[in-house]
Amino acid sequence: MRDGADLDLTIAARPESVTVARQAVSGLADAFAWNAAFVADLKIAVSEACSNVVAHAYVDDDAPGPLILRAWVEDTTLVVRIIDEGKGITPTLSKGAGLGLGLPLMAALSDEVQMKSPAGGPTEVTMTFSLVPPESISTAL
Amino acid sequence: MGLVVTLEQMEHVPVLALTGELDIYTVETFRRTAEPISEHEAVIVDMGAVDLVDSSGLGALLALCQTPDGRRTVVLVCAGLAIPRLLELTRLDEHFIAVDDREAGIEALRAEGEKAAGDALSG
Repeated sequence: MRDGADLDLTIAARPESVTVARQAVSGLADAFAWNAAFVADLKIAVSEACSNVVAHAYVDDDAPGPLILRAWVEDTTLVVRIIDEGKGITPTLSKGAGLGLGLPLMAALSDEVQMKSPAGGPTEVTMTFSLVPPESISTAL
Repeated sequence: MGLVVTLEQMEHVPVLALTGELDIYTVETFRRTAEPISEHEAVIVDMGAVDLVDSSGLGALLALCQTPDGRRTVVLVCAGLAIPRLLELTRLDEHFIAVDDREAGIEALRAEGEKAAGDALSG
């Protein structure tokens, strides 16, 4: 990451916080005037990463811990990093396990997904997105 | 933005009309509103005013396809290409009938009913 992120947000890992995270990346998108199709994909990918934190990171804790969202632009790439302070991803199915669509969706909607989750945590998910010029997008939403 | 869900009827078919975002935060509202349709074999979900669906929402839509006794036909009214694309990406498209408006949804259910009746007669 460069010296400072364009977006740096720490919120409690509650379901409603996923909406806040989406609004934050929407604000960033407005500031950079990214096209609507790109922003739609970005919002879903961010939702999935944040929902994973809400559903899994603090499942054994009494209260939700922090969900940290950072995003910054490097040349023609947007980097989005979502961090939690849970105990790391374990191979067992957690209580909040769903259909298992979250990670495939993140992979499909971004250029690259990297996950770091050492035993004991923290877990860090980094997604990169190419910033495509609006005129090259032809798919109407 | 949250989610507003209303349960309506069109030609005796329940219609769940959604406005807003269907995600981990709002999915419980959707599930609660959908509870009364448990006995119906078909439902139309009007997603014309839905801005976003995530995997929690997709899971709730998929759950609608199941009844206590078998399968339910779920017709999704999608205004644009975003939701069909999401269904394709997650390979869930085969579970739903996607149409452009409610009238097309009723037509699709009618056609499916006729096909099932024909299959039953020929079987």
